[in-house]
Amino acid sequence: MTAPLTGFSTTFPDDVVIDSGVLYAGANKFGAFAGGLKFDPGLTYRNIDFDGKRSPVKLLDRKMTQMPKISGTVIQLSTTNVTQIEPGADGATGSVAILAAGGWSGASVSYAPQRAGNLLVAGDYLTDVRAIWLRGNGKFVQVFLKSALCTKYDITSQDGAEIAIAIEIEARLDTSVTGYTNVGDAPYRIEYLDAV
Amino acid sequence: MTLPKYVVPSSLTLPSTASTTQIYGTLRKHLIDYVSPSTDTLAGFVGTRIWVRAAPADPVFPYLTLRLDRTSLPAYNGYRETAILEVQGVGKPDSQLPLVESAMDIVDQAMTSLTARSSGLIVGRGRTRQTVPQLTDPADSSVVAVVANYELYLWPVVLTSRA
Repeated sequence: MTAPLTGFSTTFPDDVVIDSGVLYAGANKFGAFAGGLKFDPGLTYRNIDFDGKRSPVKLLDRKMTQMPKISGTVIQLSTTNVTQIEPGADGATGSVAILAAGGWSGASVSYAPQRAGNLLVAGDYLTDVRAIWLRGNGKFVQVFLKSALCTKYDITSQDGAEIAIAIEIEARLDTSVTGYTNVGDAPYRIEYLDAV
Repeated sequence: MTLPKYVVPSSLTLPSTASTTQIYGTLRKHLIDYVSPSTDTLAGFVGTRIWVRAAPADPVFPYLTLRLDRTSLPAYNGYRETAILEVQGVGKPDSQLPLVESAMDIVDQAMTSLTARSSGLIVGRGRTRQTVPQLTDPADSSVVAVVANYELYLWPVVLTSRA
């Protein structure tokens, strides 16, 4: 008899990655998510062409772009989250005209999103964004974006369930940081941690 | 791999997924060892009275019983299995219901945070739970019970070490 052909090995219980993971922005958790996190390094390669080429040729590949992105669906919307998904949003505390016009009262905070056409400043970016997953051995693996920006989100509410905010956070190369100074440097890292 | 033929105190190597008996023992040990954030343990509610399948005759109440339903599919060559761990918390008289519910709260915490990989892999996250309605004659109406089903997935050595 022959045992099944399988990729399973004795190291599998250590190396398997389980659960949906957690997204951090800096030292703090971004929030609670529904479903898992997705990381796409956004890689494109070009295999150099030449007359008579019949198939991709080894040693003629060049990495062309790397546009890493973490996406997921968050189910909360704190005031901190607003500034995270609306880079550069400006929160004004107190009685705000548009709310007063609606007849509402009480302390309010109104966030004015970044004006279109403006160049973002350093403080508008997220730093140390990490998608962290638990490994079977109780340790962790993470995708780390030194600098990042939430470039897309939408909000969907539904009866009898939590709100769903689909977000996309793209890495940005911060050339002021050691290890990222070359324009070709990858703006992300994959790292293994003993503890979070 | 030597499978256990008889189970007497301290005869099992735990934690282990090398046999069904050891899987039961591993789950039972996890329940006994679990300490809640408020430092509660099952020992304060049921002692070590956690039985497999059924309690012995003339049991001391309250107690817990464990029972597994296990499924493995060809999609993983039978290596990975999903399981439902049924835990019954049983008390008598009916004034023990808060005791049983509290014990099951600890079981909830322990089983939905379980990631055990000392031997193979056991992961528990989801569950359903019901308080059993009051029994009526001819059943013993002074018996109270809570039944919970915990969804597990396993890569047990007993299935992954096939020749």
